[in-house]
Amino acid sequence: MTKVLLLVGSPRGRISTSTNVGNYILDTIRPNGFETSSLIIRNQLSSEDKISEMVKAIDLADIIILTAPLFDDCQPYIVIKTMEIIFEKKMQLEGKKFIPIMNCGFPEPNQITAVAIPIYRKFAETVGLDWFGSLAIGGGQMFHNMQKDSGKKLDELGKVANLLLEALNQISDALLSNENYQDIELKILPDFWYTRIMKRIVTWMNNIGWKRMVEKKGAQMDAKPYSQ
Amino acid sequence: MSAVIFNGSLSNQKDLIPLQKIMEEELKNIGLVPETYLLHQTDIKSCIGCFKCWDTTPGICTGVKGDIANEIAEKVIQSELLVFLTPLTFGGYSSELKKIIERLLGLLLPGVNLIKGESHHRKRYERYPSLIAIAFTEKEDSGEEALFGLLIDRHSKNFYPPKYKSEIIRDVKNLDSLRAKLKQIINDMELKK
Ligand SMILES: Cc1cc2nc3c(=O)[nH]c(=O)nc-3n(C[C@H](O)[C@H](O)[C@H](O)COP(=O)(O)O)c2cc1C
Repeated sequence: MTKVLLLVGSPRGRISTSTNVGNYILDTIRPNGFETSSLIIRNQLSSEDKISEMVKAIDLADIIILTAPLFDDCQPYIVIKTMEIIFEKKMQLEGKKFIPIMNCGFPEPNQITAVAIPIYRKFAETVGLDWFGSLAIGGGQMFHNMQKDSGKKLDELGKVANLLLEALNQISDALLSNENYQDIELKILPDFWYTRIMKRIVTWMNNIGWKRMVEKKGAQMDAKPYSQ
Repeated sequence: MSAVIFNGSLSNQKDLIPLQKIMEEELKNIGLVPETYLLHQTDIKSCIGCFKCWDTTPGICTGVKGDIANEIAEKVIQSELLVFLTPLTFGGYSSELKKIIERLLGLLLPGVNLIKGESHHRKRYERYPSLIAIAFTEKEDSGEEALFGLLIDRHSKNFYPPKYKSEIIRDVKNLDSLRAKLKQIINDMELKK
């Protein structure tokens, strides 16, 4: 059986968009003859034993799906650390397929494809992983907000998740047919809708939303705790 | 006036030490007081993505406790210049450098600032330090080098340095040419004496 390993690279751990998108793919392919497992990178970096466990799981896998958020225009610390460990250990990764999936807070997926996806490509090239395809999800934080409180799965969120599910299904289909797919740049807010004027409106609403939310918690959003 | 230097080398790497030393000397020469953090020897925990530095205790990280990240963030925002030193890691930062960068999120505001139609973070403070970002590599890979430049360009759209420069350095053995190079980079920052 083909072994698929999901590595969740969100510093939030299990309660994250990274977990949810990864699990959706695993759930879709599992009934079709794939052996799936997942590890939360944040937990695996906590001790040498756990690191060895993760290295072993990577060693055993045929396909590695690595989900993570964009932090400061690139991979989060825990993901870079994992890439460094894989590189340092000179692991034999030839023939293993690699699928990096990344989500970010801002709506534009090019925030991810500008640097983070090319960094993954360099990593894959360097350590010998086969590039199967990538997915960049703009506006992924929105799903976290919707799922965190409701406990709903991605396919229970209704219309807002349709485009995301379509992209995830495309990856599952590619895995089932064992054919690489073109890297996907997913705009959760499609261009025909997210026009210049809509950008301004969405931005304005987002900024007001943050201010209100912080005020509700009794704090001042634009506080400057450090003197200059 | 001060400068903060982040040395992001991993524990088994010594290449950035001469770079760090010369950088410190040259910054002192223009009247800046450098404070250096050799990150792999500094107790910094990693960001957990909780946004408490935005929504609960604005500007201060309270999601992660028991380290000096807030102290470092304060020094950064009070400095004139921030210096990143990192081994070039697949075109990006080392894990050590990335860990502290993530902990600086509270220096920015939540929400969005549209710059040329693209979303970026908003300023919390009036003024941010200028940035020098230097990556060391022995590899000849123009792709990775270009990526580092792009990463610093994008970082700067979010962290508002008045001036910034990224540089790839391959030779840390020829100290004279290294010093000349760093002098030039510092000079380009046009920092006031
Ligand atoms: C330290 C930090 C840095 C971030 N930097 C970016 C960024 O550069 N661009 C962006 O669009 N979102 C950024 N985000 C937002 C995350 O990418 C976003 O919240 C994402 O949906 C989290 O996914 P997860 O739930 O899988 O962890 C940042 C978040 C944190 C905590």
